[in-house]
Amino acid sequence: MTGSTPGSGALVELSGVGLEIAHPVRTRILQPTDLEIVAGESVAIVGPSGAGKTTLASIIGTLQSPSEGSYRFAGQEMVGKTRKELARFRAGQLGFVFQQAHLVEYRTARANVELGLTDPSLNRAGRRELSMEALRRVGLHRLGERLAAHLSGGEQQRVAIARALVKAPSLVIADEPTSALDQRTGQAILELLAGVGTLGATLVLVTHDERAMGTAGRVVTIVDGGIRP
Amino acid sequence: MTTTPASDLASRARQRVGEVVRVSADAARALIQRPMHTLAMIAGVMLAVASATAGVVVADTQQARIDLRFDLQRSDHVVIQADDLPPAGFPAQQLRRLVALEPVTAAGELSIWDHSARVSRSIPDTPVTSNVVVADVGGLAAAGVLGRSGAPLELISATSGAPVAWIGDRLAARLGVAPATGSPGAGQDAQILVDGTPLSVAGVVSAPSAFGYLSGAVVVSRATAVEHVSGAGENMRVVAQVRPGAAKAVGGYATQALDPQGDAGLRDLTPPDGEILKSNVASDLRRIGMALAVVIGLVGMLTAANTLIMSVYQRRRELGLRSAMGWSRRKIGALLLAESALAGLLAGVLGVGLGFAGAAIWCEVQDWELIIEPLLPVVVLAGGVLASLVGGLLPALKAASISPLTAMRS
Repeated sequence: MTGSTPGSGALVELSGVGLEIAHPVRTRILQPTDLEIVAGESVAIVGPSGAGKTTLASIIGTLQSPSEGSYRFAGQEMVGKTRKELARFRAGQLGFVFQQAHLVEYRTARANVELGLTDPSLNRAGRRELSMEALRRVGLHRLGERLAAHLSGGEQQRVAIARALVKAPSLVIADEPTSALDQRTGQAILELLAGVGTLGATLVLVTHDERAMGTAGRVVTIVDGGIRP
Repeated sequence: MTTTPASDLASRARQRVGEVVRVSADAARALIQRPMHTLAMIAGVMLAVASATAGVVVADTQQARIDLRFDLQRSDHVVIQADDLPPAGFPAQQLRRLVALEPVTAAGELSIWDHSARVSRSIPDTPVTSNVVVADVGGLAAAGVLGRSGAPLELISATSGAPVAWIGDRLAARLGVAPATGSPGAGQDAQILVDGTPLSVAGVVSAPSAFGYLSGAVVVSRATAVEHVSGAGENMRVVAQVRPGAAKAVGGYATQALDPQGDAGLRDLTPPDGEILKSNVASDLRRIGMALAVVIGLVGMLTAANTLIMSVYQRRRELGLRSAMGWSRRKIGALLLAESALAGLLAGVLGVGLGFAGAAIWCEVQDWELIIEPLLPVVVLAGGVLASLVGGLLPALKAASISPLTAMRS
């Protein structure tokens, strides 16, 4: 596994983290929130639409910065880092699975997985090997050379998971990964994500899916921009 | 394992090169896998490159034709005038030295003895004001004067001061003179009066437009002029016919050859051969060609920029995803610029081919010989890549500014 993942203790520490936007009108998106996620933990963030689940996940994923509070990742303060530093952090530590797979249609499944590899020291053979290994993990190694456009929705989401896992991240953030899939395919995807912990990664899963709550080690419910105790 | 700063630097350089190769390959894949998008992207620059290539090739070809026309009109005569020579004229030995020069095909005297002599057929006739020209065989040959009728012109040097003249065809027509054939001064020739002095007309001559005044002139040998025509001569000139373009050089040499001591007060009256005009026309043509290429290049650049901006909009999720996965803004911008550069290169190659083909067809239709500057394809190709790169700058900046949140929220 790459990156400095602590063996125990809090990987994610949010302290009074909140988000208020000033434009177009002053709006409070996320109330000041405290949250700790331990390394290797699997946390489901649930709540009604518009409650602030995705906002919380995006702050944990450093896709946007909070307007207040402190966010420490593995003991390192994230608030105040430059865009370049945050990009480097995401490249080394984080894997994302979104509601849509967002595959590049004109690339093969393997080439899409390779997009997740941002370590410049890897050579071509190394990249290919890691990508095929990640595809094997999600059961798609036979479709590695198939164009993304020719994969089904479930297969595309599996490729997206492989892309998130290929660099062995410390933290995987999955935002509604099953909402665009049928029930059976969604279940298979959830099972795959449940296995993230066995790879040593921490999982933050934003979902409406009640089945997901069963697979997560802890469920955090968020309502009206704040965590319900 | 310990690493030295040098090996660390080399390793980083290798990684950087690897990154560049990967980004370029990524960009190439994006172009290859979306042919319609690529075609839309390269169309503008390709047409610009094709137009610029065809324009410059046709301009160069046209330039060669203009050069040829200018060459044809360049002065092929040297005129040297002596202000202080004795009435005997130019020394024969020095004239021979001039004729011996490689670019000189003929040379000899062609002086104005009297520019307003009164010439008529007989006393009661109204006289015509004409030039009396003193010439020898070399001078007449150098001026391209041809005998139309009467005695051959070569005999002018053999008249030995006899009252014999050749007249220009225009003057002959005005006077109604038609010389008999045979030896000059044989007694059957028509007579004319030059300032009251009777001269036999041995022949009628015609002259090219450069020496058009000879068509209305009376031409005599120097000895005849001295013996029979009033006055002492207005000027004394040597005319040499030279290879086109050599007039200036020969003129400079001739003043030295004809008068090494500088006693005769020689002046080079050789008319300019239009080099400056030619140079101006050439630079105007190139300026027009370049302006055309710049305007078309700008249009192509804007087209490429427009297509790329649309492409960035369509690929917002993909670019946002790359950003979320940790791609830096610089790398995302570089991806777009690499696409731009590769599209520009492709557009350049196709455009150069199209431009040459168009120019070749045009020249074939016009029956012109195609002229291609060897460096032109390289320059135009570089121009196409540059135009495409500049056109890609704004889209690249736009792509680099896409928030990673775009992927999450779309």
